[in-house]
Amino acid sequence: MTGTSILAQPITGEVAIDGRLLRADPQLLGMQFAAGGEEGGLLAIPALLNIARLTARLKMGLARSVVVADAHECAELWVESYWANGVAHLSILSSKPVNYTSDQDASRDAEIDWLGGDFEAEVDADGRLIGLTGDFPPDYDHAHIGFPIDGMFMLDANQREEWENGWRAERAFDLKNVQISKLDSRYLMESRPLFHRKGELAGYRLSFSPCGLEPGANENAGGAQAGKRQILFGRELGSVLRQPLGRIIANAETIGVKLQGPLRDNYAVYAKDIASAAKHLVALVDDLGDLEAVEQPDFETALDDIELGDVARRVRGLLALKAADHRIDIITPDENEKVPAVAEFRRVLQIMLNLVNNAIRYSPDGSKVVIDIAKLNDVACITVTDQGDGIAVEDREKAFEKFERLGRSGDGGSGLGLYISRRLAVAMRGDLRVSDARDGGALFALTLPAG
Amino acid sequence: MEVASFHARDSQLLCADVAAMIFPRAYFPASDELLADISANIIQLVQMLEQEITANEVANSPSPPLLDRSAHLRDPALIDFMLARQAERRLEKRLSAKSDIALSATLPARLLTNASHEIAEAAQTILAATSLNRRSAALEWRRLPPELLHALCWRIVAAVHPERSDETDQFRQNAQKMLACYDEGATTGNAVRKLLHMLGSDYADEIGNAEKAGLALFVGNLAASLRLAEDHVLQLIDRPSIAAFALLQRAAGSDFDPAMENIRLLYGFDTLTPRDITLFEDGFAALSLEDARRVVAEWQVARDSYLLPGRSDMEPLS
Repeated sequence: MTGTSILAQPITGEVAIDGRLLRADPQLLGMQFAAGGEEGGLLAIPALLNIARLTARLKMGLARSVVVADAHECAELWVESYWANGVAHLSILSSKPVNYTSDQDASRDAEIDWLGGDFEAEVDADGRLIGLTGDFPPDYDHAHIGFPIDGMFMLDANQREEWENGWRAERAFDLKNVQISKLDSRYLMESRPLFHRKGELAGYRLSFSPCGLEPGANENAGGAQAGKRQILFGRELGSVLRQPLGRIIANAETIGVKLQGPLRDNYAVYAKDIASAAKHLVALVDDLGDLEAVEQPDFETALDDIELGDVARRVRGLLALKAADHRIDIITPDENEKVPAVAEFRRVLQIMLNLVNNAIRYSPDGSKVVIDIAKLNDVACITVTDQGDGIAVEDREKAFEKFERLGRSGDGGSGLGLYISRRLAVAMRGDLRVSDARDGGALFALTLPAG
Repeated sequence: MEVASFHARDSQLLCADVAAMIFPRAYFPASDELLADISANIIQLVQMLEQEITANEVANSPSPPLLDRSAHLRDPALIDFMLARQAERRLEKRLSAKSDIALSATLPARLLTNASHEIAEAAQTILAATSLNRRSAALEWRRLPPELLHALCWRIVAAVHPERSDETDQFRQNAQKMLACYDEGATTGNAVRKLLHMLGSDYADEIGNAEKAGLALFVGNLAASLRLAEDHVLQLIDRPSIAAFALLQRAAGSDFDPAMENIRLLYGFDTLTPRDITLFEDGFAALSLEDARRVVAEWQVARDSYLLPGRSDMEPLS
């Protein structure tokens, strides 16, 4: 039997009504001692004591599996008991080891064990790692021994200079805010030279202790790595915020639709307001993440071969329900009409979703939103036309500014959508502009390099 | 007309699913017929116990009306136990009708000859219960969980006391004898748990298949892996819609094909509507393990809060 041992002879014991272990086979006595109990004392194994007490209370024969554990192992036992002569008679018939440590638990334990404590690295005179002690990061195990330590951390220009000067002068030096590769934490690195008896440099002992990121520590760092570090919101804070917001939305919606039971109507409305506000915050988090990305100096987009008619139809599909709520028709180009372009597909889709969303939001119910495509020489163009109030000439450039709402409020917008869309369009070597539609609404035109 | 009737049934099932979500405590919409059955079963059980305790033929047993008036017969734990037995009987019949293999080829039947006496005995208990369920035999008081039997037994002693106070001591002794000869190990639920414990991971594939394992072992395994009560799992599977059963199997980590096979066995494709199948095919893969487990945990909490007032094992231990 896999994992389960059925005992040839049950392990037995007798327990008095007050829980004292009156008699026990040697194995049970061993368990009693291991659990800190004593012979004739209160049964020290809680799961067995419970079953004995229940037997005593009900005065009936019971048969159950119980889990017992000590510091070293954990097992599920099959225990049967009966009541006779004022005593609960216990029999353990079989035992199955229980393993509570999964791989995931093990890796989590490793993470918990390593909470960014102090650790030391020793390097030889050629800069190779020759030893690690203390709470070194999980990714930096002894497999790195013998390899240059340079790859273990990332130094900015100033830190690099200080590092090289220190080594040349064979002196002690400290570096603040050193970033270990693949880790977010920053360390204070204290470097102390080691010498042979003859006085030659033998290497360095580097002591790392965690330190917070000092404001402006890397402001002048420059380089791609420093740039990547600045994308903090979209990658890190964004996901940290989205999770609790997602829970707020889910719970508020559950309450709002009274899934958990009856609720006063006005409370249900409040719950829906909470869900709506949280959705707005999620959209804002998304926008801020995008904003951070598009404002990076090295922000780039992929060059995919795309077809604008396909984009238009996908946008219609994605927003069909929302449009139907407002009885708005989204009209897209005919299947046979094709305009190839070179741009990153998901970014073009993002821009178009933003434009059509705005068109639905600001158009009267029952109107039309038209998506059209065209090619002019080497420029591919996709336009969104609505039947709303349009945008005044003096506001047209302002509409593309950061956090600009053109006096609107309470409609769930963040004022970042058009700004991000234009930045994306420019990054794809195109542009995004707005003009008047023939029948008075707004016409947004996204231009991209033709394919 | 056929299409229309399918859609009508779809709408009805959809309403049932939504109702179960909105009112999780009313997780089992009991029909009048079912309630009448349950009442009859409870009264029959009480009469049976009274007969054991008083050692008399029950012509006008005094305990059922008295216990009913004092709300003891509306104990949620007792009603839940009876509902589960009804579900068990229905599922057992459905499984025996759909199954291509004979009862003698199921895992419990094959384990009758196991070298371990303990395993063989547990398998025999399961088979006996299966046989009773398939024949819709009356509920035997020995199948009650010990806490419930204990509570019911002493309530009956108290109920007959006013009419026959001179015999109360005798009734007490009879009750004590009856309880002393009760063996929890002989209840189906416990035999299943014992078998699962002793088999370990052996026969895992067979146990995950309702046809090969038999209903009791299959349900016991599902309950153990989801840490639910077997009676709860039985009632969830017995719902008219397959949604709950599909979700249970997803939460237990079943693969698509074995899960589909179990649905076929316990529902039958002939009774599945296009909505059922679409729901299963689309929903099963799309539903994450975590979400499925979260929903199951919510069901468990709802059931616990429903049963808590009736828990007879919640009294302080002496």
